[in-house]
Amino acid sequence: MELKEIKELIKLVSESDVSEVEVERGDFKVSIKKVEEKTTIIQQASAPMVQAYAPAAPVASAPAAPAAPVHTPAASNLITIKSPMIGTYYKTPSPDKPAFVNVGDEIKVGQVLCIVEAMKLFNEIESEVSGRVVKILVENSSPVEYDQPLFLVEPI
Amino acid sequence: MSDNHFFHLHFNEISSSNDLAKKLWSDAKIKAHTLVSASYQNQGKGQQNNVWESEADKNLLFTIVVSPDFLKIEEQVFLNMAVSLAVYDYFTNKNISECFIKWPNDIMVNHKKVSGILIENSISQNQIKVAFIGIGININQTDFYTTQANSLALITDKSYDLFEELKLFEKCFSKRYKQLKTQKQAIFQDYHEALYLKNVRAKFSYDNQLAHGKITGVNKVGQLLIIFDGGETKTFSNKEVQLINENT
Repeated sequence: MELKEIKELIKLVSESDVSEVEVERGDFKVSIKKVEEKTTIIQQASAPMVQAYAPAAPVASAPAAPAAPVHTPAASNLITIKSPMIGTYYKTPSPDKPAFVNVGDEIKVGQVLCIVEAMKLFNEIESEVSGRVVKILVENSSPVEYDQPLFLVEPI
Repeated sequence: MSDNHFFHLHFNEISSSNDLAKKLWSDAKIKAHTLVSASYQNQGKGQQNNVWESEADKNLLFTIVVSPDFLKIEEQVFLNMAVSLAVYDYFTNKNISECFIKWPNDIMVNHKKVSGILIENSISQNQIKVAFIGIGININQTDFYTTQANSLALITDKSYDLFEELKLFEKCFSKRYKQLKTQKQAIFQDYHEALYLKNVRAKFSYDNQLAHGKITGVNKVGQLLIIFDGGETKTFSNKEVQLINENT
């Protein structure tokens, strides 16, 4: 099962009245359960490869969730880049353009990472660190709070 | 350079004045307090995926580059309000009534849009380094693809010298920009007085539903507050709610 399919499943569950979905395919099993408007993957059977991806799964209805990226490999030395403001997160300069940064990209100080929009003011957020993007913690065009973690960056 | 004067660069045809101003800024070709204008934009920008349509040499299309380093990031909403008020002042100075600011920053005359604003900031180390304030004001254009657009010429039945009008606007902008430094509360208050359909019952769509309510104001982070007929007040960010215009 691909990450995209899991994302779609989560979207399906969060948008429907169904509170729990279990999908089994070969030796892979995923169960998605809705807890108080929050969609979380609670179980992955015999699919360690997916485990690494799971925390990045979109949790559209629960903006508070990105606080969860705890078990990332070598999390201790990672730098968290946080939102300097309340607004809506955009990963591209405009919908038809590629993302400012992707997981695995090397970033430099001063490089634009994303846009946070509030009241039709589009703020290009520049990086204060250099390193490699390990994880992007928010979904495109989702609301972000002040100080909400946006990116995990591994110093190089 | 004094607050009342801008270094002015004019181009015949460009992609978008905000994009060009950003490029000139990053190439260190311009400084703060520069105004970049164009006769025609072939890729005029509205927000994210919207396009700003304008005939050549008919309207004001420009970007003002400023460095509002006196503003904290969380105060940037006031910048948006100050710019909206500058355009609002430009129209009301001509004794045009029925002029309002539609949240967040469209200027409406007789329920139709006459001006659009798109501000792009560059944020680093928790500071607004530079703001690119893109403004389009419909002046002499009288034919529009949409029925929702208005222009100064349509409102007054006259045509105007664009350069003169730009000078008039610069004055309005300078006044509000100065006010932004010391009197944010006055800006907040004036914005509310000019707010379109404030305390007027109207129809809104949000979350795939329609409901009647009244706009009560905008909070300090720029979100719109609507009290619905049932008595419940909801807070909306940009694009989360749409006004169903029943006046046109």
